[in-house]
Amino acid sequence: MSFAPIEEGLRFLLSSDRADGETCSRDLYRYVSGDATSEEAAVFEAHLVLCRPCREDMDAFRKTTESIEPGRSIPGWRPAWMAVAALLLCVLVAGLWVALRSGEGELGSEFRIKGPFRIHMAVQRGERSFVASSGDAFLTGDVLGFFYTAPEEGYLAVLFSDQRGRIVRVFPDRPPGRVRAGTQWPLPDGAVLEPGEGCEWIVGFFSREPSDVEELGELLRRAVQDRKPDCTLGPMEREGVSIHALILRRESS
Amino acid sequence: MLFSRKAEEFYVDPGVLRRLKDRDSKTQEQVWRLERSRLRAIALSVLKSGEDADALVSDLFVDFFYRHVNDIRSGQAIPAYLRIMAVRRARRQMGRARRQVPIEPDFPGEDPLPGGVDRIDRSIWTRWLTECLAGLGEKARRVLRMHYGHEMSYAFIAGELGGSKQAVGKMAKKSLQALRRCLQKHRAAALEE
Repeated sequence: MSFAPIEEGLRFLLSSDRADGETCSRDLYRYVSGDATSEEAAVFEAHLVLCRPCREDMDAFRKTTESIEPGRSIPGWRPAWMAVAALLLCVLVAGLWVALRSGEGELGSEFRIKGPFRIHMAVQRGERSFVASSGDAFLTGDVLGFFYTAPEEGYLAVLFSDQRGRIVRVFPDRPPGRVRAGTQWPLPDGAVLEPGEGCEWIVGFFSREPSDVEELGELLRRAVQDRKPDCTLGPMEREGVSIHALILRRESS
Repeated sequence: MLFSRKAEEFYVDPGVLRRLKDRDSKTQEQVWRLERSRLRAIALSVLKSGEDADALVSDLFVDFFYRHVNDIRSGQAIPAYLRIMAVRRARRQMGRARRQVPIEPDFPGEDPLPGGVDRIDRSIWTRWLTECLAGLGEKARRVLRMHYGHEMSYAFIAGELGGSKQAVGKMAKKSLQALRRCLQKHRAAALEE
């Protein structure tokens, strides 16, 4: 005794049309992703009045993406950051509490904190999120987010270098990259680690006055050339600039 | 490059969309890496099952890379395009799962179904087949999806996924056998009831 041909069932079940549902799916995808022309958008907006599934899907899209990426507009890049955000919020609250208790912090038009400039790194690896330390091992595909602690308002540049001295600017998108004073402030930009080996570095440069990011890149390149066998960078000094470097050690995934 | 550009910059590069349309496997992998976690989180928030979310995301990428990408005009639209796809598909899948008897449009085929006196209702059979498919491995499902869902030849699939045409054909054949066995189990259980 035989069933209906499985192949036929598979053709039906596995077709992209069935997975997407209504025939208007492509228009919806284009509209939501901003890929529709103005004419197509106008036509789709008229269609929306009649298409309840489309309205519901758009609503769900908004709610789902907001719950996964609170406060971030779409399109964006960062995956579920809630665990990292919660952790860093705790650190921020604790930092403020200590500063206020000791009387060394001052909340007002100018907020100063005690302690040096620091750059921090949060990592999402699969389902796990954690704050990394300098020298930690990293895997290809790790998603990195960056945070800083700055003693006063100023200007920040964050650069990446691999061991060949290839430099990538992580922050700011557009110089000069003015930042507020505070503890564990998140930066808007992040990155995903591609295959690599040996050591790599994330270096933050903080200064009261704007710095030339190209010059900072050159400074970093020289420090990479002069690195020690334990991956410590060579000397980096620039007047008026606080520098903090994190080492990323690569492990095979 | 050992360290990727930020995602926004990645998609701004017009070469990305062109390479995706050319089915460049390295670019597909880059997009997969950038988007997978978030798409999974979206699917999970709707489906509440990690296994279902993984299957949905895997299928979604196959459909996107081999069909939908041709509809896209700007690379910057890709992240949101994938995410609204994930939302719509997860909601459709959830809607189907909630129904006691799936009210799917029937797949085209003979009527009545072969099966004699214990003729199985077509919609139930479709539901069984869906469940059986979910029990296959990811690669097997991808092969079936590419072959039956996108009408790709075994030779083409072998080129895309790696391996020989014969190996892909063998995997498809084994998968069909597994599906047949699974459907028989479902039917036996239904007849017992």
